[in-house]
Amino acid sequence: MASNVRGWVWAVVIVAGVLAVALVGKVWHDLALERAITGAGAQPWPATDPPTAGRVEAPATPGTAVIGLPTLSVPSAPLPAVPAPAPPSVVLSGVAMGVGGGNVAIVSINQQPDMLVRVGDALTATASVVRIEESSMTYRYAGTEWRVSVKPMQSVAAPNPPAVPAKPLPGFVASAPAIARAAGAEPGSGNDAFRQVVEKKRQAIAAGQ
Amino acid sequence: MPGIFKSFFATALVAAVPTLAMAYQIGVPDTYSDLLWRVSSNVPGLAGCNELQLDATGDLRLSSKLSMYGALNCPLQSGGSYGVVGSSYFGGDGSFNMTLIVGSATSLECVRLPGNLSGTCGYYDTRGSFLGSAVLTFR
Repeated sequence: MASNVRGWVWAVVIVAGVLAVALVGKVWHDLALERAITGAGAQPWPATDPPTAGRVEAPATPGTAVIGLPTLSVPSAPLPAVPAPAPPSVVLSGVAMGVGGGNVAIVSINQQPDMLVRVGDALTATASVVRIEESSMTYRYAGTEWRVSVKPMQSVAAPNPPAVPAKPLPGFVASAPAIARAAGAEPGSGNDAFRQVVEKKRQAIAAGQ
Repeated sequence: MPGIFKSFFATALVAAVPTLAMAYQIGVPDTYSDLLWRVSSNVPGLAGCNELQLDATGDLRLSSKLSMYGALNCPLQSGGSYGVVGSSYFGGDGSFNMTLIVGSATSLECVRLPGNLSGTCGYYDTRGSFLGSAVLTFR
């Protein structure tokens, strides 16, 4: 009976030892993996990604990055240092008065479609709006404030409307002479008199006469 | 005796003539000349017409109607014009309503213009199809 109990104890101890060794190995492997990806924590992820134009990005965390990577293909060497991303290309198309009273800027980031932004809005993950003035906008990027002015309207070569509109309707008298009239009488010279007569007639109608 | 009756009726008839004649009032029409509206239209063929010059004739003391006639000038259309003829009347609400035949194929319908005689009118062809609109501004 005592030998049976001792056997069970040893079995439990051996199983527990095997599990402990496996757990330690797993932890060690994960730590090595994370160190390889983050370069010992020198570069925040995803520093190599250029800012996405026209969209507000939340800063990614190392944890979210690990999830998407294949475990076995990750090199063990730290990644080389990556240069800072280029500043975004900001084009200010116009400034308008917002509903709440504050100005709203119409901007295009990196040649993307225009979008409306207010003070405090993010232009990219690393750039945000600081001020919006009558004809300019100031945003902060990499600790520096950048100011852009409203882009002047480009002159568009619009085709001249045809001097002669579409086909004239029946009854059109081309190159008609001016209407003959009495000397001194000009078109519209009778408007005031007619206006008074009309007003008098309207008053008479209103009075039931 | 019959002679007396004849004289009596003849005298009564003569006395009643002025009263009967006053039932009809014969007025003298006035002509309001050199009326001018600025016109803006999107109707093809009329887009170059920007000036409506009319005279109006009627007796507004005894009537609520006017005859109207003149031209729709089109300085942006080869300097031409359309002859215009039509009529207008005051509605019971005091509105000014005007229908003009423009050229020989279109009519201009201005319904319920307010006291400033300006507003949006419709262009129709002779079949009554809507061609477009015109904004008339009485200068």
